Amino acid sequence: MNKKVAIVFILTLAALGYLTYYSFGPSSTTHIGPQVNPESLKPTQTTAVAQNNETLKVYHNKDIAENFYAISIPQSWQIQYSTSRAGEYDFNFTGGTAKVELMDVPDNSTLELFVLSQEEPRLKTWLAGYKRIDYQKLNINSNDAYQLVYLSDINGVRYESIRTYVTGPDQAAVITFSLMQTRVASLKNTFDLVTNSFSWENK
Amino acid sequence: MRQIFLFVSLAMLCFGLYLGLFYDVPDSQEKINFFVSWFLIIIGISSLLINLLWDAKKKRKD
Repeated sequence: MNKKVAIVFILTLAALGYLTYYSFGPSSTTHIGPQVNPESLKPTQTTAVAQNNETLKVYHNKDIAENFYAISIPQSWQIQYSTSRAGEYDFNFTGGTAKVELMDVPDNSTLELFVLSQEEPRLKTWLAGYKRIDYQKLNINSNDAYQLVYLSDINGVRYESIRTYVTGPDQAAVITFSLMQTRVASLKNTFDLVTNSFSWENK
Repeated sequence: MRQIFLFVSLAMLCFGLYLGLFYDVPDSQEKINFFVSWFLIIIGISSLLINLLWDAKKKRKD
């Protein structure tokens, strides 16, 4: 065999070995796929809301191209830096959690069809004691949205979740609030405020 | 035979570049897309190189 051909062959094998390690090795999650943009974690503006004396912080998420968005979050909610992935925010507030994330919808489906045929069955199998309370279509800043309200049992406690899917130019956004059912009424206005503040920023 | 080998090498290289640069990767499939695209690019380039080097050797013999 030609010596140079043998060298190319060996180098190819070495490159493939390194590629496999780089793609599936222990540190692969830190360098493959979209990364969290540090700018996304800094709220840029605060808005005083007179309605319930709560101040809102505006987060501008710029992690994934074509899927930039802004959302207002109450000042008192604590962001969870450790669990947030690219395009996501996790928040804790007294008695519950909130999550904003991006979701890829297959090209051969609509968001509503996807929610009813894929998401809800997935939630049913994933959550103990799943029970749908409400489903409605909304319009959030000129974007079609679908809101699913459901109950589930977590460690024997009844939780209510409000999950809103917002159509987007590329991916969809999902805003989820989960908290003990008994506390929902007192925070409903805040949830509506946060949900309605969502807007895409791809201009 | 050599033309077929060259065509397949070029096709692998182009498909690898397409997957890496233009393909809309579904959620949570980034790793496998990264691996497959680079796999095709590496195999494509090396088979092109092997083809050229082998050919150069034959010409020298002639």
